Amino acid sequence: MNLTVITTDGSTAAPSAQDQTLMQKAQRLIEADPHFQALKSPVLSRAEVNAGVAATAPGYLYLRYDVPGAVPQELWAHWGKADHVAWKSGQVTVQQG
Amino acid sequence: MLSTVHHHQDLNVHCQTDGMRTLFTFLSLLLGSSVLAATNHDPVVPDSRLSPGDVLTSDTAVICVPGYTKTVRNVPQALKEQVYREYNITGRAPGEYEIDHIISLELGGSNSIRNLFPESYKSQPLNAHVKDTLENKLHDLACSGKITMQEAQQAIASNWTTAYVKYVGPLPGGAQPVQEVAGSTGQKRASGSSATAAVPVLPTTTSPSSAPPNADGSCPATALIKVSKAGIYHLPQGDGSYARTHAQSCFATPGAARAAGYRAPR
Repeated sequence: MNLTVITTDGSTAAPSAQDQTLMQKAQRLIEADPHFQALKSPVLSRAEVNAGVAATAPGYLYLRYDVPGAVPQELWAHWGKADHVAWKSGQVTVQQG
Repeated sequence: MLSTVHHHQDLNVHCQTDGMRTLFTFLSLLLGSSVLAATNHDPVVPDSRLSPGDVLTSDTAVICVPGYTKTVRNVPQALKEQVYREYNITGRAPGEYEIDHIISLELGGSNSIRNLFPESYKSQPLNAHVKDTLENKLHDLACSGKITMQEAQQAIASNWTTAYVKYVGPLPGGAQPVQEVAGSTGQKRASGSSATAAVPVLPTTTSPSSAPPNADGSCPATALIKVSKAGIYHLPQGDGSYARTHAQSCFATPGAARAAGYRAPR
């Protein structure tokens, strides 16, 4: 899955190593969530960094999982104090450091 | 705008003399006019450079189920604020704008920033309420099988004011469809009878017939036809190879793909 950075003028850029790490850690947290595990064959289909949003703010990293025959799941990951998945809102906090 | 309101309140507390009240009135008019100027950039149609539109799903078996939109999550506030910044909307009154989905949720639109733009509730004659009418109409047409969901998605992503005329009827207030010029954020207006819509319509531009593919190999909603490495174009419907094709380029119509030298599957 390619991680894309969407810059504030709408163009795309390469992600940083920090962004790659955030995506990988967020994926691990999401995949460990029982709500996610109840989905049938989810596949990560989109990963986009919203460059204008702070890396510690909800909405920073957009992740989309396609689920055949069901509603695709959209989640957003950001850096924070502790690992946490808020499934209802789709916010994933990844512990910094 | 919120901070302006707070300034008014603070000033009001300290205005004890007629002279100060006069000064306050002057400042209020000054601040009010600056807010008006700040909101005089209502984007009627999105800037396709910032917000080309983005599809979450085109599966009518998913979208057309009552209550579908409630199963899609809400856009985080920090992301909404980013959209306002990108469109240079620095001040706004409560309830003045919404961050709208270009391809609405009820038409399978996504919550990606590519699918979001600020839309005024108050601009005249075209505003978020008018677009809502189109969204409902396209949903009904697509879910009743009169048009495909992809057609509905492409129509609303290409230019919702044009789609309104095609699928609903004449625009309110005698307005003409708005033509978007990429990169001209905040410079778009409809013509119509209202004084707030007096800015002339910009020259007509044709919709682009091709678009670069998304990073994941899919195509944007404005150009859904995928072209494979082998130079074969695949349509989103009735083509079993479409889903697994990693697009090298994307086109809006089969004719545009053929004109660019690509062929249909044999």
